[in-house]
Amino acid sequence: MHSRPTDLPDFTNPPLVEVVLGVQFSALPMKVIHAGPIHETFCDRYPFFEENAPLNHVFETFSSKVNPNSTSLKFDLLEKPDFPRLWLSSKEKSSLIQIQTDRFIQNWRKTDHEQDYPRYENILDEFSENFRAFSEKVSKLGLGKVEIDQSEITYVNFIEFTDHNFGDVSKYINMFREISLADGLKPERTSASFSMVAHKENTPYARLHVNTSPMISRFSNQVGQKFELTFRGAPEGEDIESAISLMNDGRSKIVNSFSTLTTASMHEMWGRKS
Amino acid sequence: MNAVPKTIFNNEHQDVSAKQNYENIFSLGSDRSPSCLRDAILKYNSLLKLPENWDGHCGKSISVGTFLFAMKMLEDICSDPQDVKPQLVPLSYGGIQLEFHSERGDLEIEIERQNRFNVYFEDARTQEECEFAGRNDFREIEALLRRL
Repeated sequence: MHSRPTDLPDFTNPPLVEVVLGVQFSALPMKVIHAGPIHETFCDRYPFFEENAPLNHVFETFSSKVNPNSTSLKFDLLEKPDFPRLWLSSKEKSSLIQIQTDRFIQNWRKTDHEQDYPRYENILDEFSENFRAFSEKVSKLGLGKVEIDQSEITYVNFIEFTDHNFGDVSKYINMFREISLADGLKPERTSASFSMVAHKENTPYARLHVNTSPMISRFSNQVGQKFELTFRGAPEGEDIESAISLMNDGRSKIVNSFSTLTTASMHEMWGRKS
Repeated sequence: MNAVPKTIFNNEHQDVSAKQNYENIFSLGSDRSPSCLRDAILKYNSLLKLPENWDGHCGKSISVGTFLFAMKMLEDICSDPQDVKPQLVPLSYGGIQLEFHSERGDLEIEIERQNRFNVYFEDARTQEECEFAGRNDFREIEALLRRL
């Protein structure tokens, strides 16, 4: 059981609508015929099954390129892929496992407006347990060892607007406070995307991506701002412990960045405890 | 044997043009991709087809992940215009070596697998040599490449 660091900002009712924990690894020789035995491993807790197009293999690398985030390189398969991206969902649909030849992803999604956030530690425990079950299964199926090359964590927040104005997000998000406008201009809608590099001893090892844009809640039809933070990088080792260590690091950076980037009045509304 | 996704290169469709070939296996932003990356994809995509024991000495095939990492490195370190074109050499344990040779010196990057590489550089004029290992930071490699 993982435990929460005491020095992290904590909210009673954070605006989180989705948390994603994922690892990427060298592609396993999985075929469609393996999907059945893999689903069997999880079918008690995740009975629902869907297929989706696989995600691309991505690397978080560091160079002097002006725009390192938008790689122009994408691997495409000519024919129908041998193995799709499986979606295994829990009965209530809030918990989801995604599996493809080179990825294992655990999602928690808010599926009901009243649903409480189960907390990172619980989602991580679920990810950890399910990943180990997946690794054991692929080993038993003779598909080889899972060698992780990338670890990532994403928090998706939905910040409900207290009025129906899409434009002025400065009361919610700090970084837009400094934007001064010429007379007669009022902000209409606000989107932003930026990234920051995490360093250890002056060496870059991971990147935090922040994206925000207007959206409408599918629960309440309330207008608001999506505020998404993703931390991704190469773990120290190829094992799950190293990947989880990078996720924990990313979680701290995401929570601290979220607290820095959002306003004190919203913190009060979300019940900031520390 | 590692899984090699079925691409047009795995089939016997030899009648398609090279341009169609690489656009089917990789999508490249036409305005951003350095020419050395395009050339490498055209010239070396066959590395993905190497079977087990390709060298007669138990040589391992190259995984898609290792090949993609090599291509990502090329994309990051190469710039246009660039005179020194890379050569890609398969390694018997499943790695790839990128080699840049010019009259000014030699730069060799041994990619063991994703996030694991070793660099060797020699300056032909000063005889200066350097070696180091790395994971996902390519800035030092870029600086060495500019010296060739």
